[in-house]
Amino acid sequence: MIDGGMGKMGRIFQLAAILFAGILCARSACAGTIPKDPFNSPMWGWVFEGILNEGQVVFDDHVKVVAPDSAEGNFQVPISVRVEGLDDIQEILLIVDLNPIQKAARFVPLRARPYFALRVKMGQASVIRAAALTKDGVWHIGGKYVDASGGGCTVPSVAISSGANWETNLNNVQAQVWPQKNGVDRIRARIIHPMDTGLSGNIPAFFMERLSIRDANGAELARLETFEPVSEDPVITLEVKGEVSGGGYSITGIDNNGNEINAWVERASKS
Amino acid sequence: MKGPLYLFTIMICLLASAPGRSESLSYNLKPVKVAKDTYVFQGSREHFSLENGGNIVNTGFIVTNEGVVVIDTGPSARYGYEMHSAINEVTPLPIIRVIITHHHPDHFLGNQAFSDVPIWALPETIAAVRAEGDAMSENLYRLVGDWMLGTEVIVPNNSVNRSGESIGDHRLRYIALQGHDKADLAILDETTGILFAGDQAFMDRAPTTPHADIAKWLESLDELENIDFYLMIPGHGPVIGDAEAVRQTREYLVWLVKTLEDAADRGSEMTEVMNLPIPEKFARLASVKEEYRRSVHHLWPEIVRRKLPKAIDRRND
Repeated sequence: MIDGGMGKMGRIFQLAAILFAGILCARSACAGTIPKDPFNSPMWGWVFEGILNEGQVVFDDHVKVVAPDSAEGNFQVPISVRVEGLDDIQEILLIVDLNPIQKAARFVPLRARPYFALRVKMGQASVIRAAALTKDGVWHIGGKYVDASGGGCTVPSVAISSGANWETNLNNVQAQVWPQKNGVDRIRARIIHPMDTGLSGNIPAFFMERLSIRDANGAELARLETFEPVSEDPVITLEVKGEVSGGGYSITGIDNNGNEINAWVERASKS
Repeated sequence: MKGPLYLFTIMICLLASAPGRSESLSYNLKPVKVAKDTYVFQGSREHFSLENGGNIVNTGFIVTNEGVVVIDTGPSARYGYEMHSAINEVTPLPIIRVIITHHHPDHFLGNQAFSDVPIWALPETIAAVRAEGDAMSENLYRLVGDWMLGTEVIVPNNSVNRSGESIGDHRLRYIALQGHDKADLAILDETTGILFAGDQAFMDRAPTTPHADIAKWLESLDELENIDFYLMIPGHGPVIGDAEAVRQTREYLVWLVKTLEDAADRGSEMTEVMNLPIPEKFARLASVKEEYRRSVHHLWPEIVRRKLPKAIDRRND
């Protein structure tokens, strides 16, 4: 009885397993193996297929991700990404493997350095990785593991500014330019936006989608696409290469409800 | 070894070696007599860990001739019960009062052991425990594990609404302060000159800032420094005979704020600020590296909000 049952069930399972393996093969394993992830992240396979489209990848120390070892609060985890020693970076993706929404940002440097800093929300401890695409179509990947179980007296953070008035302040911009010695202008901007993920309560996803830095003539110098995981009231840092005409920068963008961002910051602005 | 037995053996080994295995856990609390009728349970100067079980805090008690007044109850029910037993070994007098200095989890989560006596705290502290106690308790479970088993939040049930009172043969002065937490209570035993400073003052240990308002804290430290006392029991770190803990705390906080504000003026971003070097004179404070980074998390977003100038709005051009 047991033998007979096992045999029959066994054959069915075997068949199912072969079919399943076949599907997996077609998806990836046989088409091109998933490169080994030095971070051993359980979501790497998904990131590789779903975000990097099974492209050519190389894990590369030239892509530096700076973040705390342990996040004190899960709502404002600071991250900076800098690519050093690689030319012609086309774009940089910021990915938090174990977030329900993995892709946090896409940075297109244009005339900016391959560097940006912002803060993200984290649902749990995760690898945070940056994938920088070079002209030859290769993703160069760096990353860091961030423990996000919280620390000490952490409590859920609350809206620190947008708070009760976020509707009237929506998409207001604070910004300042710091000219650097090497002809680079560092720009920091803070945009009032709730950055709702759509995963909490009955609050629909509502987030800033795009931010561009432009010169006085409207030429785009850098573009940052932001997604749900970016923290409330995003604070963005980036570095534009100099020789900019017009004495300042415009900061333009839009959120997923079509609300416009449009501000101007003087290059010599003083706090 | 056969499969199941092999697995079973591994499980037993894992259980036996797991840190924080509940039956064998003990804080081994030993009351230290620091003055007449006055005892302190001195914790380590570390951050929360599986090894210390959250015993990073100083708690204490005063033996009056009518009964015992307990000041803060530690990080867990287990700590509270151990405290209770240790007090019973010092005196046959009953415990008649608990006073909680502020709403951080290492100071009140032992309340369960004293749930049969009135637990006093400032009104803001009571409200804060009610609002955030569970979240804090959960977080401490994550940080110290099994030491917390059975711990539940007991909200203090009596407001400290007076400037002092006599309990038995001791006269206590209640000093309501602010800035380390939403409300901080310091207690001066005028009979012995012992000042329980709570977490207003840290000695040889980096101050913590999760609910800090530094400007208010600095004002409170001035008030604390002007009090005449014989010995100060800081919330963390050794007991001392002068106001050195107040001075250390002030010096660190002033440096902390200036460091962050200067960094904001230079255009630094948050990861750069977190990795700034800590000056030699603060490097000797226990846990300073972790606490500095935690403080950047707590304080930086607000400094950026305050310091970044408004850009020119062109939406209506």
